[in-house]
Formats: sequence, C-alpha cells, structure tokens
Amino acid sequence: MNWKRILTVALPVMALTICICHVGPSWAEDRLAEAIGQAEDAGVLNSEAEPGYLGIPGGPQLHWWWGLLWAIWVGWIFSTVGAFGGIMAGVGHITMYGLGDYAKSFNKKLMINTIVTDSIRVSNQWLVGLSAALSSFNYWRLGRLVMPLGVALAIGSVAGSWLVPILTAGKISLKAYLGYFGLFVLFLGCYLFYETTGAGQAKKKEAKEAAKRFQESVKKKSLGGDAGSKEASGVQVIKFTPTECLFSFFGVEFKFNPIVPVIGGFFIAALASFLGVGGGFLLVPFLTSVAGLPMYLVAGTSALAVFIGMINSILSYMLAKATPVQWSLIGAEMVGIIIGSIIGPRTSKYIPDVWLKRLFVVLALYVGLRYLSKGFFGVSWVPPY
Amino acid sequence: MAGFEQIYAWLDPVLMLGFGLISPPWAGFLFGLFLSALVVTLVGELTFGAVYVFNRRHYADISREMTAHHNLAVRALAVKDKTSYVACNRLANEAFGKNFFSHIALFASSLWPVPFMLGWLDYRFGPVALNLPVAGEVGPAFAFIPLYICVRIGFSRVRGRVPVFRQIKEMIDETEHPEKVLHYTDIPHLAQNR
Repeated sequence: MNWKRILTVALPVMALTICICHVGPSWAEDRLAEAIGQAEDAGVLNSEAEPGYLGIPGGPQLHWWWGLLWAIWVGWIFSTVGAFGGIMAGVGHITMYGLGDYAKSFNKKLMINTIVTDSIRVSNQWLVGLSAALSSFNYWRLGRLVMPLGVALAIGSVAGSWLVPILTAGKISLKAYLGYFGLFVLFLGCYLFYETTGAGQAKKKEAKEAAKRFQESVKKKSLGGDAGSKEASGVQVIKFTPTECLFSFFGVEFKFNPIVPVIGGFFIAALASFLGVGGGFLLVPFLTSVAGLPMYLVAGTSALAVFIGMINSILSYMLAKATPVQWSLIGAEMVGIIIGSIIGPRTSKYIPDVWLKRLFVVLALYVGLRYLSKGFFGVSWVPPY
Repeated sequence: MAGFEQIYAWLDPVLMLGFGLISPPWAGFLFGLFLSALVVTLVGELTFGAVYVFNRRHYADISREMTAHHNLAVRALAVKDKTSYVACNRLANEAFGKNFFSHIALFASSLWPVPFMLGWLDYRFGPVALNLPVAGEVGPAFAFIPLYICVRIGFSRVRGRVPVFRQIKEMIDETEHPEKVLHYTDIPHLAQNR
C-alpha cells in the first residue's frame, strides 16, 4: 500500500475539511447572536456594554499580554515535563482568562453559558491538534502503520470524537465541565505522583538496567538467538479473531485483543473531545502496553489517530454546532508557547526530571481539587474559597 | 480582543498591497491571499530556525536518546531478545513522548503568524459577503487555509535551494539524526552481521 500516495490525497482532504469548518463563522455568528439575544431578553446582558470576548457585550476583556504570559508557562511545561501542557492551556482558558467564571455567571439554561463552554473546549484543541498533524506527517516515513491496530484504534477514535461533540455540544454547562475537567486532572496528578514513587520508578529502573545490559552485549558482540530465518521477516498476522490478534514481528510474537484498542481509542478520543485536551499523551503508553509495538510504529499510529480525532472533533463542533474560536487569543498563546519553550530547556538543566514531575503533581492536585469541588459541589475545597 | 484591532489597522495598508496587484477582483483577492500565505510561511520558517538554533543542544539530546533506545530495541528484535526489546522500546517510547511535546512547542514557532493573519483577514474581509456555489457564504479563511497548506508544502520542496533556509535545514538534519534511525527492514542485515 503506497502510504505516500494515500497521505498526499488524504492531507489536502483533511485540510479542505478544516476549511469547510470555516464556513462556520457565519453560522457561529448566528448561534452567538441568538445566544446574546436570549441573554439580553433575560436581562443578564446589557447590549450597550463594551464588547468583550467573542464580541459579547460586557464580556471579559482578554488582554493579549495575559494570554501571552500564561502561554509562556504552557510552553515551559511542554518543553520540560512534556505532556500536560494541554491541561495547563485548558486551565488558562477556564480560570486565568476568567472565562470559566463568566460562563458560570449565566444560568445553565441560557445558551450563552454553553456556547462559551464549547468555545473553551474547541480553543484548547486547536493548540495541540495542529501539532499532531505535523507529527503524523513526519512519522509515517519511519515505518508502516500496523493495519489491524491502526484500523481498530481509528474506529474507536473517530467514533469517540464524532459522538461526543454531537451528544454534548450545547448541553454542557460550565459547572459540569469544570467538575469533569477537575476529575481528569486529579486522576493525572495521582498517576504522575505514582510515577515519582519508588514503585513507579522501579519499572523504569528495571528497563534502564535491561537496556544497559543489552547495550553492553551489543558492544561485546556476544549476541544470542537466531534471526536468520526467512519467514521471520516483517509483520505477519498469525491469528485474527474478534478477541485476539496474534502477530509476529521479525519472529517475535506479540498479541493484543482488538476490542481493547477500539474501546481504548473511543475513550481517549471521547475524553479529548469532551474536555478539549489532546489525549496524545494517553495514546502512546496505551499502545505500548496493549501490543508492545516498536516506538516508531506507536508514534506514527498514535499521532495519526490523535490528528484524525482532533479534526473530527473540531469539525463536529464548528460545523454541527457552530462554536466560535477567538483567533487573536490563539496567536498570542502561540507566541507565549514559543517563549516558554525557549526558556524551558535552559531551566531544565538545573531542575531534575523527578522534581519537575513533583511540581506538576502539586499543581495537578490543586487544580483538580479546585475544579472538581467547584464544579460538582459548588464550593472550592482549596483557597481561594 | 483589546489592542489587536489597532495592530490590524496599522498593518492594513501594508497587507492590502498584494490584493490590488492584479485584476479581476477575485484573482486579485486570491493572489493577495497567496502572498499573505507566503509571508506567513517565510516568517514562520525563520522563527522556527531561530528557536531551533537557540535550543539546538536540547533538541539534539532528546533526539539522540530516542534514536539510541529505538535502535537498541530494533537490534534486540534482530536477535529475538524479547526482554531487552521490551525494555529498550519502553525507554524509546518515553523519550519519544518528550520529543513529541518539545516539537509541539517548536511547531508553534512556525505557525504563530497564521492566527494573526486569520484575525486580520476577518478584520478586513469579514464584513464582505463571499458567496460560493455549493458552500454558500464563507469567510476568507475558507480559501486562506488550503492555500497556506499548499504554499507550506511547496516551500518545503524548494527550501533546500533557498539560501538561509538551506542552512537551517542542513543544521536540523545533522542535529536530529546523528545516528541512523534503524528501520525494521534492517533487521535481517543486523542478524547477518552479528
């Protein structure tokens, strides 16, 4: 299968798809205008007030420098801790820009509450979605995608990212979104905390020792095993049933349950689509543990699945439910990310990886508890109350 | 957003220059969009190069770690050492994660002018009703985005022949892959050469 030819066609189609979502501005404006009208009729918006975010009268004034500053922090996270930069971007949109409190100030029955919430979700995705596009285009050159796994993951991923926007756009109030976002961040904080403990570090230490031993044996050229067999070449699917895929990869056998990547892909894409957070960092460890695939296959497969999921989610939001995006805010954030990513590598020399993770654990626990409690219980468990 | 309207108004006479160069109006509009896409691409590529140079060692270290562990994993597979393969592959995947996210930030450095250009296009042409036969009323981004992607892909093909950009590309190629990234098709050769 000529992947180069397929991608040469697929990528412009995807690009055209993105453009079609920009038919959206006139639709988005209609939905927004309707929401503003409804809020004015309810007496919660003053049409004479100065336009703010998205042109909403009396809406928060988003100063570009505030967006820039927060994005510097996001860029720093991306270039040091790695993942979770998207989470921080989400925190920025919700809390630092005051969009969360603004949306919450409206009764959840008013469209303006859900339209601002949806706008936050889509704005989060743009930052990471475009990056997944570049990665998937680059990594396909490192090797072919594993078809059964790629297809299973894509089915789950597309299903998750199509269904969730259709089912939830316009229906999720800011409070509910906050609660679920907080729950997810709390889960991540606990997972990261586990990684910094002895038990969590043990597996990595074991892997490092095994890798070091193998490296020594490569140097000494005292290799064992027999890979000379002709039938050991490439990927060979030995057995495929709805519950088991057994394949050999250069004579070494691996297996996975096809249902797992479908369900896993669905949940990861659904989560990414619902919360507006990339989900890319969940896919790589998921694929590694599901099928034990080589890095370049996992990288390409996951980046492509994330990309497809992103395109679908954003298209669903912007076409099906016409959610507006503020471009100038995204631009200022990109500049901030650049600055943060320039500073990050310089500071990481002085801060060990494990302490960076611990810093993030503290932040994740704080943000998670705050959003979870405010969203589901109406009151913050951590200061400011 | 506060402040940007003023910036767009200030840049407007300059950015509009390309839109009045040829006629009829629709051709002038498309040509103007093409020039805008080109400017955005060039500015983005230069920023990308500058950011990369500034943190070159950091990107080289991450890439080297990822490549080294990946190659070790492929060598382990060549000799059917599954335990070593799983260990090296796990480390390669972790290094990939770091590489992936650091490149997200790097990619932003080439994309940053795009949202501002989209914002200016909305500012300038937003009130103009652009009607297309099938799509109906569309915004300027409908044409700009695919044009930008085409210009970007086209530029990547000729980048190696354009001064400054050629040097940037050579530097990146040298930094990213000091060691050849082994492909699984190298496995039979590795097994034979042991």
